[in-house]
Parts: sequence; C-alpha cells; structure tokens
Amino acid sequence: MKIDKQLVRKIALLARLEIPEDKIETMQAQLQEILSYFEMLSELDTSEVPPTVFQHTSSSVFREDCVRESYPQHIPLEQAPESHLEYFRTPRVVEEESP
Amino acid sequence: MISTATARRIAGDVRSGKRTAREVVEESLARIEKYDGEIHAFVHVCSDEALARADGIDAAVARGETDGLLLGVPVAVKDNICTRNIPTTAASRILENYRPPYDAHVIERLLGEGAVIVGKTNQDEFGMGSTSQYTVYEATRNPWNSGRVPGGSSGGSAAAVAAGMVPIALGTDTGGSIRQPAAFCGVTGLKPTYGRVSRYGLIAFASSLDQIGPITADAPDAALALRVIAGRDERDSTSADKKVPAYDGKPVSGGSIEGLKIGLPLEYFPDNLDGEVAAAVRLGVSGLEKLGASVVEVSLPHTRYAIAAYYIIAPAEASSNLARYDGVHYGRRAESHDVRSLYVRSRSEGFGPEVQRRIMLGTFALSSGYYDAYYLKAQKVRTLVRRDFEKAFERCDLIVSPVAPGSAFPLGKWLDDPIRMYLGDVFTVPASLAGCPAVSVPCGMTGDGLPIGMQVIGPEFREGLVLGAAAAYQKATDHPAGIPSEIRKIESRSGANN
Repeated sequence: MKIDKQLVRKIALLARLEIPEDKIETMQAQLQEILSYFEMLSELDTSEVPPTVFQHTSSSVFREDCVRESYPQHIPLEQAPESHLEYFRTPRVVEEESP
Repeated sequence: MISTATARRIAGDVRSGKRTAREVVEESLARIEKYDGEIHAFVHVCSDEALARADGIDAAVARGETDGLLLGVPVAVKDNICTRNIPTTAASRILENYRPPYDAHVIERLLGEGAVIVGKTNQDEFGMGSTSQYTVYEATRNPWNSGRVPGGSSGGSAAAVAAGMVPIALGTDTGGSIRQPAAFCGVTGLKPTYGRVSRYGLIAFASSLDQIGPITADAPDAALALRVIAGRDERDSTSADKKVPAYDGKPVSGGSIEGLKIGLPLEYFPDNLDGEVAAAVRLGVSGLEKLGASVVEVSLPHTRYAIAAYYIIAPAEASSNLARYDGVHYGRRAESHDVRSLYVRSRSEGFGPEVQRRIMLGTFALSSGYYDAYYLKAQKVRTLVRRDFEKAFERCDLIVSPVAPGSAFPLGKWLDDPIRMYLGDVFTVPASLAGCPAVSVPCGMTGDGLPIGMQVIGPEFREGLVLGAAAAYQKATDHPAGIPSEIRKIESRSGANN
C-alpha cells in the first residue's frame, strides 16, 4: 500500500482535520511506515476465521423502550461553547436567500 | 517519613475510630502538595471537596455508620473518567474546562463505599500513548528517576501511588495503559477482564478494548478496589452479568499457590528482550515455583501479529469515538464563520499530534476500499490471538511474562518515532485483544534503580486467581525496595530545611 500526499489530504478531509501543508510530508511518511508494518498480517490465511467484534456479546443487547428521566435542558447547555435560549448555537448552516 | 498504609488498613482505622477520615485525607493532600510540584501526577486536586467529604464520613462514623469497604480512603482518578462537577479533560485541549454533569459508574461505586476522591491524574491524551507525555499538561515524571517517563497512558495514577500520595488510583487500560505504568513505577496494576467493570462515564478511546482498573501498592488492595468497582451496570451493555466474587487478594486454595501451573510463553522471551528484564522475570517465576507452582512452556504463536492488529482496531474505534468532538455541544470551539470550518478548526486545534495521527490511521482503516484489507483483517487476527490464549489455558492456570521489553526510558525518547513507541506494547496488547485479566507486579530493579514488572495473565473472569498468585508472590518477596528515590530526595531536602 502506497500512501501519497493526495491520500493524506483525502483522509484528513474525511476525519475533519486540517493538516498544514508543511506537515503533510511527515504525516505521509509516518502513515506509510505504520501501514508497511501492518503488511505482515497478509502472511496469515484468515479466510475461514470469523472476526472478533465484541468479547462476550455476539448479538445486540436490548432493553425496555420506556420513558426515563433525563437532564433538564439547562444542564447540557451549560457545557455548550455557545447557546441561545434552549438551543446549541452554531454558525449559519443554510445559505441566505438572495434578494 | 512517609508511611505506606494500605487501603485496607486505612479503612479499618477509620472504621474503628483510630484515625479520622480528615486526618487521612489531610495527609494525602499534604503529600500531593509536597511532591507533586516535581512529579506532576495530578492535573486537578479537589482539596475542598475532599475535606468536606472526609468530615461527612467522620460525622457518619460518629453516628455509628461504619459500613463501607473504603471508608475514608483517598483515591485518585485518571482524568478520562467522569467526575461530577470536577474537571474531566482526558488531558486534551479539546475538553478544557469540561465538567461532567454526572459520575462514572466506578465513581458512584467508590463513593458508595466511603472513598474520598482527592483529584484527577495525568495521562496521555484520551489514553493514546505509553509515556504520559502526549498530554496538554506538564508531563508526569517517574518517582524513581525524574528524568524518566512513568509509562502511560495511566502514568499519573501509577506515579501517585508509587509516591505514596494515595493508596488507590483508578487507571484505564486499552492495550497496556494500566500494566505498563505500574511496571515502570514499581506498583501493582490490574486490567480486569473486558466487561468486568462498567465503562459508563469513561471517555471512550477503543470501546471493544477499554477497561477501568485499579493501581495500588499491593495485590490485596487491588482486590479490594476491584470488588468495589466490578459488576453489571445496565448503562454499559458490554458489562458482564456475572456475580462479583468477594475478591480478598488472599493466596488461592487455603493460603498457597501450591499445585498451580504457570505457563511461560516462549514468544514473550525473545532474544532482544532487555537482559535485566528477562533476568528479573525469570527470578519472579522461580519465586512462584518456590511457593509450590509448577512451570510449563506454552506457545502463543500469533503474538508477533498482535501489535499490527491492535494498531488497526484501536485507532479505527478511536476515529469513530472521537467524531463526537465537534466544537458544538461541549468542549473547545474554534472561531469560525461556517459550520464546516468550525468542525475542522475545533478538532485541529483541540487534538494533539498523537491523537490526530491515530484518527488519521483509523479513518483510513475504515474508509471505503480499505475496510476489508485492514479493519476486518485485524478483527480476524484478533480471533486467532484469542484462540492462542484459549489453547494455552488448557495447559496451564496462569501465564507469566514481562510487562514491557525494557524499564522506564528517558523523557523525550521515541516521541517522533510512532512505530518504535507502539512496539513497546508488545507484551500487553495480546491479553487486551483476548479480553483476559492481567496484573503487573513488581519483580525486581535494574542496576540503575528502576522497577521491573512481571505480568500475570489469567483466563477470563479469573481475577481472583490472578490477584491471589500476585499476592502470594508479594508476600514472599519485597519488591520494589523502599521509597522511590525522587521522593526520598524531596524528603531529605525538607528534612534539612527543618
């Protein structure tokens, strides 16, 4: 697996991270080295081996779907970087209509 | 001079009225004050809350309410475990000023048994690292040598116990983050079976691997702490619905480990293993033999693939878990005029370099076109590693190995060499992938005066056996010897000033 700068930029975009241009090369080299190390896994034939997803639960765990007490709105909102009335506030998401 | 009272002793003394909880907590806070300027084990100390709680406990004791396994015992908590109204940052800038509105399950249990939380301990950001240097705070120093790392990611918790600041600290272990710092700092650290302890209120790193466990001065205290924090909690669907034994840390089968079969995995003693570590662990094994255990060779043939599988699975899960940090709901927000750059800037400013590296790695491993070749492949290899352990435990009761390939290394070393750093987890990662309980026990010192740890791994849910063997070994030996050198230096300086 060859990692080029274009792929580093693509992964950063997916991960919502901004890698400064002068750091791209270091990231590329480090990811390349780590992925090359991972190549040893291809020595193993795992065609008949099931994956381990979780340790003890092989199926989903369900609980009764019932109403429970939760925090009053002001408690989570106190942690918000910015809020307005009972809302989390963000920059505008939709475009303004042109007049 | 510092005393080394165990949690059992403290709780007994508070119960009987021999000491007050206030005296105990004041002593703990005084040590933190005295040593932590140099050790940097704590990122937040909650003196006022701790003293108020100690007074509440003393008042209850005066009324005759003396229940509580940890009555008046000061406890330190790793900073990635939620504590109500007490800052909880996972040592990350992105969670600066975060104060959870709730307590983690383990905190509820500790408080329910009369423990007193004295503060939050330093770590590698979100648990990603093995030196406690990838932190937004000052790096923690090893109490045995301040030029060395304490290990990580639970380095603050291990250093706090080693320095005698608290008898119990909670850590978390995803691939060795309790066991390796315990080994580097000369204390006892237990990673319970996956599912033994609820993860409710633990800031997630890799959900199929993360587990909370105690770091203590000895195995009986680890047993006591485990008894308090273990058990089913419906808020964590992966917590096991299994009865919690009254772990007492007593040697198994009537006071001895006679007849136990210890498996020595040949893959854990490679030619390039540090000579002093190999010698100390072998000496530890012969110590167990002297106590009546027998030794058999076992093989865990997929050991060499474990690091690769782990460093695909853990970052993949991390990249998904850390997607929640978006600068909107809580945590740090960067200045921005549109939502997209708000996400990108908040995350890029808020996460440190190792966390970003792992998010990148995990995002790649989960991305379209690479998922089968990396993530799915790693999960299949995980099954092979699990099977190795199942097979080995058909031939032995416990497996003993080194915890780490070397002892505590100098601060700054390998910080820019991620692969070299990852390879340091080679002996702890396999038990994590398999979900087995494992304890790190001090078994010797290097010529330079640094502790060496021995790992005792057991089959799933056999913490009682693991801790029993560790306790029997500790009772018969005396590791590590005495008070850590940096603490002795601070004490002798303050003695000279008085």
